[in-house]
Amino acid sequence: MNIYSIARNQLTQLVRDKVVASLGLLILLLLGISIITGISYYSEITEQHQEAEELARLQWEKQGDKNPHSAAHYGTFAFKPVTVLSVFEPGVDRYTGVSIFLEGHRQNFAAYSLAEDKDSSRRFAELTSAFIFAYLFPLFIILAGYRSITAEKESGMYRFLKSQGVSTGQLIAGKSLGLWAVILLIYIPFLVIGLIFLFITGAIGDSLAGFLFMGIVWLLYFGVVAHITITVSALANSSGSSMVVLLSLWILSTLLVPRLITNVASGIHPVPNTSEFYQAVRTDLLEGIDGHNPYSEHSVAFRDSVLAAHRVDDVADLPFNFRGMMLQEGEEFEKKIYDHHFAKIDEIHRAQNRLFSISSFLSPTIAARMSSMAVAGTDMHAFNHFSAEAEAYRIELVRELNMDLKINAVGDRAVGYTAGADFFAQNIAFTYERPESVFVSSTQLMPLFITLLWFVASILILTVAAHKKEEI
Amino acid sequence: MMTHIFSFEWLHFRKSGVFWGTATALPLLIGFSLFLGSERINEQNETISDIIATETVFYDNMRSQLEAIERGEAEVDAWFQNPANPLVLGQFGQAGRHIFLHPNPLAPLAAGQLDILPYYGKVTLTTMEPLRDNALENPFMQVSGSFDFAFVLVWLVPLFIIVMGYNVISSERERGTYSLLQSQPVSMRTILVQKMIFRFLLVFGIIILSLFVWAVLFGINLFNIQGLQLIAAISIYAAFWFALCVLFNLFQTSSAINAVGLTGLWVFFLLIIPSVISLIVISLHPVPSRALWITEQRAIQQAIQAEGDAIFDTWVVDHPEEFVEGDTPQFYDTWIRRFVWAQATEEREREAERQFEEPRERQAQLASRLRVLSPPMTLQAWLERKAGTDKDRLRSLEKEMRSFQQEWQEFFLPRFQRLEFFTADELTDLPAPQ
Repeated sequence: MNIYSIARNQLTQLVRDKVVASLGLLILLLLGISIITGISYYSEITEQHQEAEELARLQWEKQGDKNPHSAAHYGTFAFKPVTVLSVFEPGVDRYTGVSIFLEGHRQNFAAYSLAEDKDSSRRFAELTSAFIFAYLFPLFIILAGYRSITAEKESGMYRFLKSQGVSTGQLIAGKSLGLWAVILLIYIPFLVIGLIFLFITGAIGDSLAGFLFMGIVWLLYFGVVAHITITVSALANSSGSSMVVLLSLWILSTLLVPRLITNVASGIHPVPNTSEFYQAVRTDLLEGIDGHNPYSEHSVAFRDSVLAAHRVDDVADLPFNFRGMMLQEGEEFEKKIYDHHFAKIDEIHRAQNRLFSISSFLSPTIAARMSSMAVAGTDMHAFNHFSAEAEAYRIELVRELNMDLKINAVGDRAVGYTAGADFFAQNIAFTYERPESVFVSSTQLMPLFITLLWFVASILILTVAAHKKEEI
Repeated sequence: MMTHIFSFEWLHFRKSGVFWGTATALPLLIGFSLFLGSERINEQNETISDIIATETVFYDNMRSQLEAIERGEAEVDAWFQNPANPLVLGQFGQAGRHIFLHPNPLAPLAAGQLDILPYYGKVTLTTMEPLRDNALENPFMQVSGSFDFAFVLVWLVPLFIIVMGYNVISSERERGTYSLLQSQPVSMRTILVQKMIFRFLLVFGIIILSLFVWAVLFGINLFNIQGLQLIAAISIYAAFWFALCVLFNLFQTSSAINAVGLTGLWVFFLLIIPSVISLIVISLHPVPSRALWITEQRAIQQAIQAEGDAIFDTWVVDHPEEFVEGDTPQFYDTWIRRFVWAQATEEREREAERQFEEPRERQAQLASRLRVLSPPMTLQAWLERKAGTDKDRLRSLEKEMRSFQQEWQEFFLPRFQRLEFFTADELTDLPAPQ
């Protein structure tokens, strides 16, 4: 009974507190703006991407009569789609390229990130729900709760309450509930608006699970902040020192650790620079089959084995176009080399991500942010999934082209063989299918697990604080 | 009186956790940021010298091969292996030059936009390829941002100042020593201002001292005019935050309210204003989609392809002296066309690129005007400019690459067009960027 009275009293106080009330309204306002701009950004980008995708396909189909291998060099593009949930959590989206050029012989990086074209002021702060939840909301919770216990002591109410038979545990529990109520007062409208938005866009079927996961992640994060706030307030001597301690923790978690760990991670697990990367690929390619250079050691051996298998002496006597076969052989060899080098980069990224996960034991913000990006489908893994699909498509398209050359460029048609619009229109088209499950990689579960751990730990320290301060 | 207050303040501070906390944390943070900064610069310089070395080896090889051929000791099998051929020297494979934006002396202080925009690229006769090292970076890093001196100064120093100054008068009131002070023959304002000046000097001293000591250790030269400018900027910035503290202490509010209010201002200047500015700037001057730009580029290439013969014929008519007619090798016929088409493509693409440049420039102009509203943003922009890691400088790479490409083309193209191959002696003075 006491607990609920305290909670109700705390809630009333906070709602009547002008500072807290206006900050709460400010956050709601900012959230509203962030959702509106997020939606307009999302619909704009989606529209442009669809248009670009259709144009690129049209350009592929209408590229005119040409040798299929020239078409492989001409290439086409895969455009990174945007997820509905990027409205709330854009994640790394703005920093990864919007499209990948797909051509024969090589795997390209995604090019043109949005961040390149935008003004740099957004690097300070960006009005998105995720930003507000990660940075501003914790500050709001701290401001609402830092005095919750210290103020009772400073005003003398604490002793009075004690004399009324209220235990410290009850006080702490009541104050926590009150703080939770304030958090939910702001958070629930956001969840409702989010669900309505998903419903209107018709994306609710695909994104509901992700959105709910995201909702839970942030709620856990807010819980961590709220519990720590009440704990510090219970242990602090004065409201002032409670504030200073909580602010320091906020700085540590949101600003210092994230920036430090990313720099440390890139120091411990550095990625090679682009020219080193290409140099390494080139070196490996020189060792192997190159579709354009049939005189290299490997390709000669390959040619000889094909000639021997068909019991002929000259490639011209083969029942198919040898160049088409050779190009495919070369393509597969090149793919192996690229895959090998990209896998190395991926390994470095994974090692870096492990460090981020470890650092999130110091910073719940990192854990929450990584989890929310993961469930929104806007983290590195989601991007890698797209790149991998694009690469699978590339290799299949190039194979179709080479096979056409191999099968059809024979006899009289061998010299100056071209494929026409019919053939290019039949070529496989790229449609990116997002994975159905919320998580694409098991490593994405790690930050989620750490967020949960933080939540449990925060309840534990709250309980410890409740039992420790029985005296006075 | 001043010395009196100062000496009392010092006695007080010697025992204070806040002071020792600041005096330990700030130098460490500054030191670590400069360490990372100098590491970053070392890496950049290493990349630059590696690339220059590879380039030198390539051209030295070309020259010695050519010398061997001239002496009759070697032969070439194919035209594309002939080191006398302008195409082999200016266009193919490893040929070409890298253009670098070399790090400024103050580059270790601010990583700026280096994680987004490239600082070097490769130029050949027809291509200009900015090398995006960040393409391989973990994108989570770009989301978090860099830990550099600019971050420590712009983001963290104000918080240290707030902790030092939020309760100068209010704590006297709360401790009950306020009336004691009032009974002194000095006005409360004098005490407040002098106490703040003492704290300002303390913080300022810690920053400058640690900045200079670490800078010497990490080989960053600050003993020049730029160092003085930096000192001035730091003192103005610190003074701004102390002034806010003074302001709050003038009101008869409690320490807790002061702390909340000052933190609120910090959030306002560092988080709210920037996010609103970026929102305004982007909504007023939207940059079109790069996805569409890619297809546009392709449309240009297709158009050039379709008009190819006509474009080439016009060029031949306009430049009869730059074209050898008659029995020329096949690579000549192929490549002379390619160069003409590449030039035509480049001209049209640049025209189309304007749709990005213009809103980008307008964004930057508007942002730089609005930035005045937030001293932290102003300081950050200033530091990035001093460090040479701001968007404007990094975008100038493209201009530098273009101007060097012109030089490169002027050197090789006429020789190619007249089908005049190079001699080994001529390879000693190939154009190189300054």
